Amino acid sequence: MIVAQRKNIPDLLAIIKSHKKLLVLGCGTCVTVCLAGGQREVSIIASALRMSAKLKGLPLEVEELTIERQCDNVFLEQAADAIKRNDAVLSLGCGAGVQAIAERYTDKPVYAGLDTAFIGILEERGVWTEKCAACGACVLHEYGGICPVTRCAKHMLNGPCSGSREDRCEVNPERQCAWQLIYKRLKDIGQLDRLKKIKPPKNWNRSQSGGYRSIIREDHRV
Amino acid sequence: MAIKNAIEIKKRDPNANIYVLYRDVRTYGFRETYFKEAREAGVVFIRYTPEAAPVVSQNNGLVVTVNSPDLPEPISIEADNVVLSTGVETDRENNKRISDMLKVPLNADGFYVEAHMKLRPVDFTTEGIFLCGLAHSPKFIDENISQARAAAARAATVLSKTQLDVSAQVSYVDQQKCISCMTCVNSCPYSAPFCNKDGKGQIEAAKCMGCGICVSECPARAIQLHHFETDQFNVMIKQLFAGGNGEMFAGTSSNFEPKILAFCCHYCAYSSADLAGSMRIQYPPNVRIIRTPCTGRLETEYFMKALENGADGVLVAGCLEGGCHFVEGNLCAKRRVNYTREILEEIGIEKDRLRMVNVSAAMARPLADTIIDMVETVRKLGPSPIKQNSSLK
Repeated sequence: MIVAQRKNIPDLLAIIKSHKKLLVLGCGTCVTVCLAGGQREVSIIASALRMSAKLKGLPLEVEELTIERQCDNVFLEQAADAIKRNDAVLSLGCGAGVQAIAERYTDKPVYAGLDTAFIGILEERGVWTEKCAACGACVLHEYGGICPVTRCAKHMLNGPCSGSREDRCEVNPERQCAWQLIYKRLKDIGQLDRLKKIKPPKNWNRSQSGGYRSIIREDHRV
Repeated sequence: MAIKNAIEIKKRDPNANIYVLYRDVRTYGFRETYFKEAREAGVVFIRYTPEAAPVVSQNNGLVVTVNSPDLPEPISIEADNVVLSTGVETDRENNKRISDMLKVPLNADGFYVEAHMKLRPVDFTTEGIFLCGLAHSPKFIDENISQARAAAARAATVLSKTQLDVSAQVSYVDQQKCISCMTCVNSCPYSAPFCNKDGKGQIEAAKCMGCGICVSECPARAIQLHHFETDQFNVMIKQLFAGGNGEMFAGTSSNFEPKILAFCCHYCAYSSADLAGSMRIQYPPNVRIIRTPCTGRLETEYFMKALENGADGVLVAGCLEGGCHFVEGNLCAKRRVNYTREILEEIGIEKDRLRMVNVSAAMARPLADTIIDMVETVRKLGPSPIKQNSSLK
């Protein structure tokens, strides 16, 4: 799941202050699950913006709406009327959602209300952690299902480094050493021999080296 | 036990010298007469602290040395027999496991806590689970037996029924709106919500205690609590300040009178306000109370909406920490209040306009004092800056 968090209110106000009618648009998928951009957050941020604007003496009307998924035109269509009747859109979707709106509604300013952070999971109530860096060439099968690219601070494919202390990372002692976890996991599933093979440097071509990436499926094209 | 044995030995041999080294003498109730009888029979009681535990040495017969805080210097007792009285301790590790499994609370010593000491002495807050004996606290055998009987009788009230009535005040999930985030499953203190075969959240009504924590946590607002629905709260919050001047409030004099909205939980704060009334304890008329089943039912938006609609201050009054009737509803409320205070700071509104207080049902005076203090705090802060600016326009 994509994990994001809200920008603070003064920053948001500075972003939208030139507009009088604003649509705060939530997204009902990933950012709702990570408690950053669902119906509830839309309401809280809209309320905060209205109060903030009042304090600054800015005339601001805020409309609230949450759609199923901002990164899909079918759902964006449902927001068309609301987008039309407002001067600008503050999207509480991830970066993909914001850009989907910008592409579809060419004459309407759209702003990101969230900072999209990473692909991760809910670790415990209120705590999310990054698990995947979307590098484009997954190596998880080599490492017992624990990603050294994301979870090792040095992204080492042939770890561990000599800096870990017990099971702690030297870069941040509050974190567990990913390589300690990989070793334990491979031992538990009887695949320690995987570590005997030296891994060649990772091919980053499939990551962001050449600008944005796209996937083409001929069998689905029309 | 030590005292009972001491008395018996004294009866059989009045010349025996008996010393009881103790930390806590637990002769509560009428057992106090045993303590008195033992002292009258000549048993000597010497207190010690766990930091300076008595030392037993065996060089020239048994010698017990103890450094009592009640005596100026250590004393040694030559003994024929040293008898250990074992204390009752809990199996913390396993109790913790069972407590997590059944979602029933433990106290600081690792014993299980009943729903209410006087009103529901063998019930847990979770329906249908009962407790007795040493799980609850160290106690004497006669107490254990009567408590065990009580627990069995309570269990029989459930087992003897052919069907169970479910409370009317339970939460339910709108399956259309549910986005399967499982926040409800993670936040319920009673494990009432579960993931159904459609992959959506669903609430087992028989397990739901009606606190509304899940309602206020659900990010898609897909859950509602019967009788305490979001629309009801929103209308109440709006109407209290309708017209911009808050006609619902007393004191429309030209002087500034703070308008404060108090959310009171049904079990403690609301009862406490009620008690304040029957005890003729006065608090300022600046406060209007909205009753909530639990402060855990209060959504972050309510605090924002109240301030946006013209409240000069918002008071959230819940049970004492550790004393919530829904295990942790007041802690959820505390987190939401703190989060809202952060947002208020970002906006530039004094965060002291929103405050949380914890009172028990009997704390009418402290509640009244808090309200008085809140009114004075807000009076000093002045009218809500939101209102001032809106009246300018």
